[in-house]
Amino acid sequence: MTSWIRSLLWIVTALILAFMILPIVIVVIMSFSDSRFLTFPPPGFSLRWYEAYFGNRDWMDATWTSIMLAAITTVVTVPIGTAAAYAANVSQSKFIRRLQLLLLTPVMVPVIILAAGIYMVYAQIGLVATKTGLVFAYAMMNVPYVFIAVLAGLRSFDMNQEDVARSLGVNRFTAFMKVTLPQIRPSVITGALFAFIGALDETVVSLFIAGGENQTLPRRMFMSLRNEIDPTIASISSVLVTASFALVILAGLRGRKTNAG
Amino acid sequence: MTSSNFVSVSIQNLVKTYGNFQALRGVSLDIRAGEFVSILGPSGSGKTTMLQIIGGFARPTSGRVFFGNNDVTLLPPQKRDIGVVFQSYALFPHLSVAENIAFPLRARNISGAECKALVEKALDTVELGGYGERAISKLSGGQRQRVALARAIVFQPRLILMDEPLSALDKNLRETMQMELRNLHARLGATIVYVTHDQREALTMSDRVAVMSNGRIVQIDEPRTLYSSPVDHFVASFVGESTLVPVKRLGARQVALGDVVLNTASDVAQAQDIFIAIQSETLLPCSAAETEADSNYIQGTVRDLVFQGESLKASLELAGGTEIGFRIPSHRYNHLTLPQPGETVRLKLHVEDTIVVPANREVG
Repeated sequence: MTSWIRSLLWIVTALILAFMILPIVIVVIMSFSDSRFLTFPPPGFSLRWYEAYFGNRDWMDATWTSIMLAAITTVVTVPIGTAAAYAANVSQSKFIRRLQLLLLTPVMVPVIILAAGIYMVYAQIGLVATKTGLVFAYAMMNVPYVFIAVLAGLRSFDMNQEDVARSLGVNRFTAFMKVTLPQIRPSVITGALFAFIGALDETVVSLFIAGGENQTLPRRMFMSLRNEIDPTIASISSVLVTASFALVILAGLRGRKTNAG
Repeated sequence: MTSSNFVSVSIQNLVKTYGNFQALRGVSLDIRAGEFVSILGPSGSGKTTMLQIIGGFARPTSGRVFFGNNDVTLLPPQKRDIGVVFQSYALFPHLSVAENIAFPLRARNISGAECKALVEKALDTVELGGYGERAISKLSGGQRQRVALARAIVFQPRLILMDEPLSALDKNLRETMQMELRNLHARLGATIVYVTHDQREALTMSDRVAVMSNGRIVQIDEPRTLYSSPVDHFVASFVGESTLVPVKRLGARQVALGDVVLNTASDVAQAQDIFIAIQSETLLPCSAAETEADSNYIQGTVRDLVFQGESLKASLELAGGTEIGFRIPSHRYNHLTLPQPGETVRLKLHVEDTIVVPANREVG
């Protein structure tokens, strides 16, 4: 009876995992195709679409723009999200607790609405297709992820430690930097990763407000999908997936090291 | 610790309200330099709020706190020079033992050889010499407790605040640590404010105990006085192991428990409702014929007899149906003449141990 349920669980789990991984596997396989079109299975294998990606100036420009914007977004988002999580964790005020909900709205509002709204505001104040505008938009959309990750870390942190640190002679900010932050670092890194990957990946809002010299990679990919379906997209996706995986694994390893130390 | 910075603490009319809830309703307390004062009370009595305010973690709604002659009411914790030990110890797990203890020194810009020497000395004081390089996670509960203590004393604070620091330890270790804290207190001459809900712990260590209830200090006295002269029903029931039974006042030093007339050593309060507080260890079985001038005698039927290790706990049903508890030390001499459930026994209670208290003071 139990073994029967166990094997059923194994099968269900395997199916779910397969469902999640298969699209990625198919894209990666297609990226090594030698065909002119996105077909599966590919008739033969080659690296020509990787050459098409890395050898193309437009693609490279878009890539660097995206990486740079994602990096700046992360730098802006992490302190804001962390500070918000800290406030939500220590505050006893009902008002602050309600504010949390406001902070999470970017996740709850449909992206397309968000994009249209941002576009309308930006069009008025001249932020469309600017780096500043893009960073603001990405930061707004990714603060919730940092907030949730850091809040989870803080919930299991003994705030008495900060009180003790203060009584031992440091102010609240130093207490946070020296005592709290080192211990919630894994949560902060997770939040930062979400923010970075989220910004790197962002398509819908970018469709509305990116452009010109601030063309982001996902936007350019989308445009190119519309014009011609060629496997460059698959090779770019594979590169992005690999990079994201590498980041997540690196963060995981770091997290384990801090725990052991 | 050659020179000591320990100061007296004066708390004046502290009030703290959270919304509609009054956590403190006007608390005043004067603590001498070098005195060990426990704040004893059940949860919700306001003792933790009091500690938070003395520590600077919370601000009172009104009232003042003085360290020596300095008004520290509005001073943040980092400017108060207090050593705090919490129940959870709150050691910094990402730092070693020595780094934990050096934390307050670093905050005061003491580093290098001086810092190292002070840390060593503090470790020696708590008998943890040589443990400096250990990780916090590798320490036992008792050792963590000592590290927290070392960290709280290393910078020569003006005051040590402790919030139930021993409650996470097992019984034997807790009793050992109680004795050690007592000794440490004597050696350092430290002013210590110790918050606890464990009356035994408070009686064991303190010079004086302040009993709190409903945001007020109900009584503050030396342990013996607290035990022998509780001011009201609440203190009598919270300190020691006592049964409180309503009695009638017959005279200045005489009350009636049902039909039994009991004499007291001190004057009985002129209150409406009065109770006798019978501490379970003060009752002693005696023969039916015995009559001493200094003793009161109670007779009843033994209902339960439970072996609890060092003593047996029994309950006695009196003539009116009232039950009171008493204890019999569980040594061989007693086992031979142990009363059995259902048996009628006669117990004597010394006049000095016959404590009568009024009902709780009006709380407004």
